[in-house]
Order: sequence, then structure tokens, then C-alpha cells
Amino acid sequence: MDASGRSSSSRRLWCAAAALAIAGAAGCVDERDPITGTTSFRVVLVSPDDPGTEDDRLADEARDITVQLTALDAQGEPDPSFSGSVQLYVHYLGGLTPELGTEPLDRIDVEAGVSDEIELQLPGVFGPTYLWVEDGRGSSPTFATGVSPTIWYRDPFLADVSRPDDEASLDALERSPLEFKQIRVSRSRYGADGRMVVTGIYSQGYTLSDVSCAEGGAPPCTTGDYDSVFVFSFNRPLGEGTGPIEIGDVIEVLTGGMSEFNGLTEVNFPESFVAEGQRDADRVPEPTVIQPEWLGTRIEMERAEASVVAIEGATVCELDGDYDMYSQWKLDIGSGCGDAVNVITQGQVNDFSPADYVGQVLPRVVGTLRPVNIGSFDVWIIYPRTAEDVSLP
Amino acid sequence: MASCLSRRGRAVALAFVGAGALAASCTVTRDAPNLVGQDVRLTVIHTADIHSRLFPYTFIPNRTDRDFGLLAENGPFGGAARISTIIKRERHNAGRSLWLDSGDSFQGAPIFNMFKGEAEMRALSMMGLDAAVVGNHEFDLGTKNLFYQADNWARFQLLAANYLFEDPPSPGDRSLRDVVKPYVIFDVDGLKVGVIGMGNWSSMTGIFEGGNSLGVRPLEDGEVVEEYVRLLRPVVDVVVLASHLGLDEDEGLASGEIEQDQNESLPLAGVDVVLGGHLHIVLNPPKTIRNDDLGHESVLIHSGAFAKYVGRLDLVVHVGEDNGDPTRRSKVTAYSFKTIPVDSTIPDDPEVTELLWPYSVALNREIDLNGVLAYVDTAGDEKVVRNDPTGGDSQLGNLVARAMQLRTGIEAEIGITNSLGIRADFEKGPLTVEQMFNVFPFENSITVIYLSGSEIQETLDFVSRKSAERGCRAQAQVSGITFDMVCSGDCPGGASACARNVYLGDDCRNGDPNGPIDPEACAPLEPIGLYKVAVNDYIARGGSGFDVLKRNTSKQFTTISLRDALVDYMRQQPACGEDIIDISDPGRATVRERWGAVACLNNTVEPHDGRIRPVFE
Repeated sequence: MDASGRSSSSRRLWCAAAALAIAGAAGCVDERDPITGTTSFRVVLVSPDDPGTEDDRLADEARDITVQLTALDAQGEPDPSFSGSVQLYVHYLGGLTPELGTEPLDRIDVEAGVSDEIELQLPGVFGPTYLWVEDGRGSSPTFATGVSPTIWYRDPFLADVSRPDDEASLDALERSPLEFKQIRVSRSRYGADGRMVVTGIYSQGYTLSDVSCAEGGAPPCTTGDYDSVFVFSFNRPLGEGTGPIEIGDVIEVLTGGMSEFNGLTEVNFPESFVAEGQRDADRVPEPTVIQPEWLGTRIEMERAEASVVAIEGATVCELDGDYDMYSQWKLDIGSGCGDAVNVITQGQVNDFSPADYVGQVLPRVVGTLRPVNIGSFDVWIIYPRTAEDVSLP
Repeated sequence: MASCLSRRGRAVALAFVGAGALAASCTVTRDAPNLVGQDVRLTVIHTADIHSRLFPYTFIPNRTDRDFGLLAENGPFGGAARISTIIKRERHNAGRSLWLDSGDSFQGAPIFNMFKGEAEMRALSMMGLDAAVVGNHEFDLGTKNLFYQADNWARFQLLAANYLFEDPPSPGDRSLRDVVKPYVIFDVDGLKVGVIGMGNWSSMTGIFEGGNSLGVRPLEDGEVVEEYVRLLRPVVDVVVLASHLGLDEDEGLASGEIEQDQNESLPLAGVDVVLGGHLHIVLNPPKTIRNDDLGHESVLIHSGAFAKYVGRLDLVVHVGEDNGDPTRRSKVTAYSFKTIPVDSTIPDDPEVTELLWPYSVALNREIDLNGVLAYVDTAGDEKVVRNDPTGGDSQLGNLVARAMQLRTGIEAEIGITNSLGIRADFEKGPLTVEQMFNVFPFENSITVIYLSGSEIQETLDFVSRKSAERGCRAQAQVSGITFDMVCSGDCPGGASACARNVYLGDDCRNGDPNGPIDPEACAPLEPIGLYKVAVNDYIARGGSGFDVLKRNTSKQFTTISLRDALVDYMRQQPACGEDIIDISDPGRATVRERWGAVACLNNTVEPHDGRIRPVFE
């Protein structure tokens, strides 16, 4: 059905419904005053002239914009009766910054229904972005709202998702810059030779790394700081319409909500779109070998979070209550069992019993790295993926 | 239903159209605003899965709850009077607003067991709910009860577009089909909002069967959505799905079709907002699902459960020139979502408190809700959990299965119950009668059934398959039997999940949940053996897909309450030592001083012992 056909058909439906409603409601008439006052704001983007498109995004540094507001009444006409200060927020990645109801990003004065042309600088934003203005404060807010045309910035890379705003800040290990945002990661930060490669599969999720490969994305590949993330799928991870995700799969698009779960940066409620026919486990990068001093500063561990790491020549500690409760056993990597790296093999490497190796040196243990930070319980855990990840003496 | 749906806010139900019937509504006269070309704000208040938590209740928030602002020091949580305060406040701090609920307001606290949903319907009506989808638990006491409660007390519109209601037994009788409509249209100060209800049917036993006792048949979700969107989209500015389908099904309305044909328009095409329920999750940030090739998106939210949160979704709707033309229709251009914790910092709405007072009095007269059955004396901050972190057997699941197995008069060799029948953990401290209702809300009883070893194997294979679909988290709890729950492996018949190493007996791994099965302690299941098994009557009838049990004809429905069996079993445990301090008492009195010689539940009573061990081969 074409648009006009759909329209006339729908009008007939609506008229029939309305007639029935009127007939059925005989005797009940609710007379109301007309709606008056400011209903919305028109937000005109004065600059940039070109806000970009989905296929042609603005540069990261193009953050200076100019806007002008006009208050509109219930008939859609300019409303000169409105004067006041309205609040400005920015909407990107599925939510407002700052959160609605908190101190806004800025305020814009509107006099007799119109503002001046206001210059603003946006914070770091990603994807399709809108300015949101509202009259939601004061003694008698109208809750009139307006939204700018779309301003197109690039989608975030995995590193944008994982890297803290300031590595030196106290909460660098517990917060991520896009927490509570709905991300869409659609390409590698390494360009045409980069890929987003699945490096580990677990019962409730998988690890994904942005890797730089040889020409055309061929292996071998390497990865950098903050290039990895854990995707929490709750169930065995599945690609959208492509079945179980496996190590070596290339993810073309990943969407999901960002959260920090006990220090682990997670993509929740994900949708993973797998590139068909591109599975190649050789693209999984060589593990990063953890150094004993990293446990002291910890930021190096954070940089490697969710990536494939290795521990070499470490001693299996006595099993303790953490093993009974959480199946976590410990490796002394040179700083004693009191400052050990934890390992969980249960569920992935079931035939390995750490009790058989207490006090012995394991040549190499490989797996993906996750933190668990609950107050004083602050540990790093390696999750081997298969029996091959645990080299026995 | 009243002849005129009065609204506390400014929403007006314009017309109900569905199944050839028309409910009464008001004619509204007002100069129409011209919103075309404007960005119009609409605030949608959202609740879901209230599950009868009309009175505040105690629990210890987990990490996710804390992340969403539910802090232990602000307990107890939930309660209709507090929700009402939040609703009034948020609607006061909004222009155009609607309050929509995603179903399952019934079941989950003793007030439902005693009053069958009357209190829930009356409270939600008083609080100004605009519309709610019918959840699966609304049917827990049958179709007639739901009809009776809705017909007598609901002053909001009940919705379900994907149910086909059978004719009432006598022509002219009123029935559920007279109070449940597929959709409702609201005129919110000139902004027209169509709300389509999508009920859940996957959790309802027997709904697929012709002539089922519910008198309801499910319709295919995708087709239903398409049909009603086609009807509503041209005449409204916003199309909302109030859904009790569950997250996967909500998303499936989009992704299933993508797989089939990228160019085919999706069932969600034309849907602006999906308000989800059923899974008890909070989905914040919302998901956005692109639903056509014109760049339109559906915004999907879930607002939690058990009256812990109220969701607030603020939408900016750019009103188009012609809602019949996809290129010029109205659309949501931006949104903001937050969940508001329902805790002790929120004052009660006195109107709702007054409404619920007689129910509270009657409840306390009939049931000693504050009576203490046992004391949970777990280590540190631990609870007796229904879901073990490993995904295998859990302490609370083991307790329930064992209580069923060993109950006097039952004395079975094996106990099996479904994990989802256990709705919460036992918190540390005094275990009250009210908590027992919250943890075991269902009025299930024990059924004795005689199964061959092959049938038990088939049942455990089914449990493993179902668990594999849910992150390899055990969907049943057992006693008297131990097995490896293979969630990924080479299983018979080409399956990837199955039960292996099935042994009969207790403590088969000699106290090490990760240890091997000791063949000296336990004996392998014999395929041709016959075993007496205690199950609950829900799965005995085939609930949650237990078809092996459904088709077995040896069932004996004992009517012994599952909840009572558990209480009896707990009371058989040793009493708390005299020096154990009651953590709930600020004065640090001992458990003995406060509650007498009540049974003590510590970490050693039916602990997680690996009787169900998740395995990936």
C-alpha cells in the first residue's frame, strides 16, 4: 500500500472509531479549557552549517556549536509571553548528559520568546547527538521542551568505552566514561586493518578485543591498552541470527548498555552482529604477560582488563575459603600468596584440580582478566578458556 | 467500569476499539492544539511486576539494586503508598503524562493469597494507573477470579492484544473479554498515544491446548503487533507496546525478522516505545532498536519488579504532518529514563494507606506475619541463596527439595522442584512467616510420582537443556540425586546439553562440590529401575515444560503444601546456640532471648554440595 492509500484507509478507520466512541459515550461530555501557554521550543542550529550525516560524521574536535531558541505556543506560533532561563542537556548514546533533574550542562536565557544566538562547547559525545532544552525548573515550569536537529559524531571505539577519563583519579578502576550509556561500536580504531575479535567464551559472556592486524585484517594481530571489554550476555553468547559465538569470530557491530560491575566494565543486554565466514582464531593476540609490580600500581592491570593475559612460572597457593565459596584459587607471582592473582578454572577446565598442584610452579596460565572489587575484597582473576590455557609442570 | 474514566493527570481515554466491542468513554470538547511541527514532551511513568508488594518488605539489596539507588540503610522497600507518592510527585513535575504498568501485579505476598487480587486492583485504581497489560500471574487463581477482580475494582484499562478469549459459557454473560482490550488510545493534551498490550503466554501451562481451562488462546506476537500498529499508527502520534513478553521476546519482535529478510518491514516498525516486564530486570540505559529503513527506532525499557522501582521515561515527540505517511509521521526524537527507588525515604500517601489498612488488619488477624519460624545464621553477609554462584545446586533449592523428599507421608527417594518456584533468598536474621510467603508465594503442593530411571534421565536431560539456555544456571533443584549438568558438549541425539553421571544418594562428592562422584557413596541410576520421586504439583502437570512428568500416570496429588513441608523441615533443625546474637536487634539481644529455641539455619544445612554440577565439555 502506498502512503496515500494508507492515509485514506487510516482516516476511514479513525472516523469509524470516533463515531462509535461518540455514540457510545452519549451523556458524558467533558468540556475543557483550551490549552494555552508555551508548548515547546524550536531549536535552530546556527552552526555548524553542516551537522553531518550518518555516513559522513563530524570530526571529534568539532564541538563548538551555536543555537537559537524560540518558544512556541499550543498553535505552533512563536510565544512572546515566555521569558526565562531554560535548561540545556545533551542527548547521546541513549541518554541525557547530565541526568535530567540534575544541574544542567548550561542555561539559556529566553526573552519575549526568543534567545540570542548562543555559542556552546559540547563535551565528548559519540554517535547521533541532540541538544535538549526544557523549561523544567522554577515556580511554575511549563515543561515545554525542544530538541535540536541531529549532530552526527562517530560511534565510540572499544577503547573509548574502557579508558577512564583520568587514569590518575581515585576511581579510575571503578568507573568508565560511558557508564549508563547505550553504546554502539561499529568499527576498529585501527582502521581497515583492524578487527574486533572474540578472545574468550564463557557461560555468561565473552571477551572482545579491538586488534591491529596485518594488511587486510590478516593475522597476526596485536592489541593495545583499554582495547578489550567483557560482554555480559547472561546466557551462552549468541550472534544475532548467527548462532553461538566462538573464539576468533569477528564482531561487526556491538550494542549494549554500559555498566561497571564490581570494577569490571561490562556491556549488558548486548546485541552482537557477527561477520559471517571470518572466524579465525589466529587473530587472537598473543597474551600480555602480567608483571609482579603491576599488582602494586594496578593501573597496568586495568589497561589489560578483559584482554588475554598470561602468568609465567607462578606457584599455586594453598586453597582457602575463596576456593570453597567461589572456586577461586591463587597464584603467587612473586609477591606472596597474600597478594596473589586469582584463577577460576571451574566450568571451563573441569578436569584440572588445583589441589593436586599446591606448592608447585605452573609454567604458564593463560586467560582473560577480570577484576572483582567489592570494598576490601579487591582481586584480579584470570579465567582460562580451555585446558590448553593451563600448562602443567 | 465507570462510564467516564476520570484521570488525575490530563490523559483522556479517547476510545477503546477491539474485538468488535466498544467500552464507554467520554466525549471531550476542547479547542484542539496544533502540535504539528512541534517537539512535544510526554512523560511515561512505568511500573511492572509489582507482585502484590503493597506493603513495605525487608531484603538486602544486591549490587545491581545498589547501583540503581536501593541502599540497605533505606529499607524496608516497596509499598503501594510510597509508589503513590512517587507517582503523584512525578506527574506533578511533568506536563503531559501517562502511567502504564507491564503486568503481574498479582502474586508474591500474603495479601494476594488472602484477598485474591482485590487489594492490588483497588490500590492501583486509586493511585491513578491509566492502563496495564495482563501478566501471566494475573491468571494464578483462574480466569474467573481475574475477571471478577477487574470487573469489580479496576478503574484502569486492562490490555492484551495477543489473547483470543473464548465465548462465555452462556450467551450474554460477561467474561474476561469484556474487561480486557487489545489497545487503548489516550489524548494527552492533544498528543495522541496508542497503547497496545502484549501478554505473556510462554509461562502459562496449557494455554496452547484447545479447550484449556483458562479459556484463552495465544495469538502469534509478531502478527498481532503488525496488525494493531497498522490500525493505530495512522491515527496516533506515539505507539507504545505495554509488554509482559520478556526481554528476548521484546527484542525478538525485531531481530527474528532481520534474520529472515533485511528488507522486510519489522513487526516493531511503527512502534515508538516498548515498556517491558516479566523478567524482573531493570533495563537502564534503555535499548534502542532500529525498526525500519527510514531511521525510526523503538525505545525499550524495563523498570524492575517487586515494587522496588518506579520508572520515568521522558520522551520528546516531534509531531508530524501525517501519521499515515512513514516519512512525515510523528516520531520520538530524544528520551531520558530513570528509575526511582521505592524506599523508606519516600513518605506514604495517606489515601492509599487508609485504603490498605483494613487489609493489613485482616491479614495480621489471620496470619501471624511477624511470627519467626527460624533464624538464618549464615556467615558474614551471606544469605541462604536460591541461585548458587556456580549455577549448580543452591542451598535454598537443596532445602526445598529435601523438605519435599523427607516429608512425613512422602518419604521419596528423590526430590525435584523447579528453581523459579523459589522467588527470593532467605536473608540473614529472623525468618518470618511473611518472608516465607515472599519466598514461596505459590500455593503449590507435593506430588508423588513413580518414574523409571529412563524417565528420570529424560527429566534431567530436559533440565540441562533448559539450564543451558539460561547461562547454565540450574532450572531445577534436587535431593537424593547427583549429576553433571552438561551445558555444552556432545550429547546423545546430537544435542549439546544433557545430564551425565547420574547417581542416586546423598553427598556423592564427599563434601567437595568440585570433586568427583564417589561410586562407593552413591549408586548409578538404573534405566530400568523404578523410583519414588517427590515433585511439586506445578511441574507434575507439565508446568515450565516438564513434559515427562505431565504424561506419567502414576501421580498422587497429596495436597501437602510445599511451604508447610519446608517449615516443618526447618523446625527439625537444631535450635540456635544460646550465645548467637540477633542481628536485627539494635540492643544485641540473643536469638534465644528474642525468639526462644527457634531452629538455626547456617551454612551447613543442606549446603551447595555439587549435586548439580555445571559442565562445559
